[in-house]
Amino acid sequence: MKFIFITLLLVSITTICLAGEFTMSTDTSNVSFGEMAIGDWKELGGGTYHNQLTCKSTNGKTWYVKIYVLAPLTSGTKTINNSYFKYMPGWTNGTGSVQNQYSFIAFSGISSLVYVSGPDDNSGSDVYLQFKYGLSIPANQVAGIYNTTVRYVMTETL
Amino acid sequence: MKSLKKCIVSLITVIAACGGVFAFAEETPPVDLSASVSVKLLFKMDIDKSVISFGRVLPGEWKNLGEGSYYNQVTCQSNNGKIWYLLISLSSPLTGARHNEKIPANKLKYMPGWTNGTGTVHDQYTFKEFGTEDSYVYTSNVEDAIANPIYIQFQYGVNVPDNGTADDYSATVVYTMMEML
Repeated sequence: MKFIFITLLLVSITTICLAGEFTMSTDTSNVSFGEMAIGDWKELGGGTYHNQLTCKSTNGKTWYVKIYVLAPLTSGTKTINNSYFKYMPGWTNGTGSVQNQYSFIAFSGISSLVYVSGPDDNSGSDVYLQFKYGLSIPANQVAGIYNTTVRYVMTETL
Repeated sequence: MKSLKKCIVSLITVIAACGGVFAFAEETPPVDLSASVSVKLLFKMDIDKSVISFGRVLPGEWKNLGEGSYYNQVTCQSNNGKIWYLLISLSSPLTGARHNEKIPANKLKYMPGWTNGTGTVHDQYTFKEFGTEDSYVYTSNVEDAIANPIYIQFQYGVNVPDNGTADDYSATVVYTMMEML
């Protein structure tokens, strides 16, 4: 009986030890392009960045940041094709690998890999990832206010 | 009893050894950013020739500008996704500069011709008398309201009355592009 209790205690300790820190946050929660005319191209982030993600993991495992849009930019029944809405992963202090760093990549409704953590990113330090965004308005776009949601996920699975 | 204890110990040992199984892959709650853009309204009209000059016309004479082709072309553009209309009117009868005599508006005519639009040209290829009230020339389709330039061509004609007084007559032709509220 005593042995069973000790073993259960060990299992509990093991479980507690597994519950590490695994968080992500952003410093800006909107990507607002304001007013744009047909044919315009606009970048958010200028010479630096528009928003910065802060990722933290103490799990000692490789983690990944992915990005996607929940839907194309939409106004009523009209949409702006995802190929016109782009993101650019920029600077990081992490030791991992930024996919397509400093390149504008068209959004997709399917999550795209942005960052693969390095060994030094998994021990609790803040890892920053910076982003810019760009949008062009297609030639035949109907006037209106278009909205969507950009979603980031941080996960330990690819 | 000994065998049961052994069995439980083995089970717990297996569970402990498989601690990694409980450490299922983690995923943070998603971080969402709301994205938005306001696409500017485009609603404009241009004309390639803003003077309709018949030159010298004799009393009782009919003169046609643009015969066989067109005299001027109106270009309409909308990205509002709604039906729009092109209307035409004459601001006043043709009025003589020196004697202030008038040639009635119905002596001046317009003919809406070719368009690249998918809407309806009212009385296409027919001379219509001007009025001082707006007349519908073109009713667009929704496909004409996605920013493509829509061209509408016109001819004009004047029929000077037999008793017309010699003078320089002028009036203003007004084109209006509008949407219904």
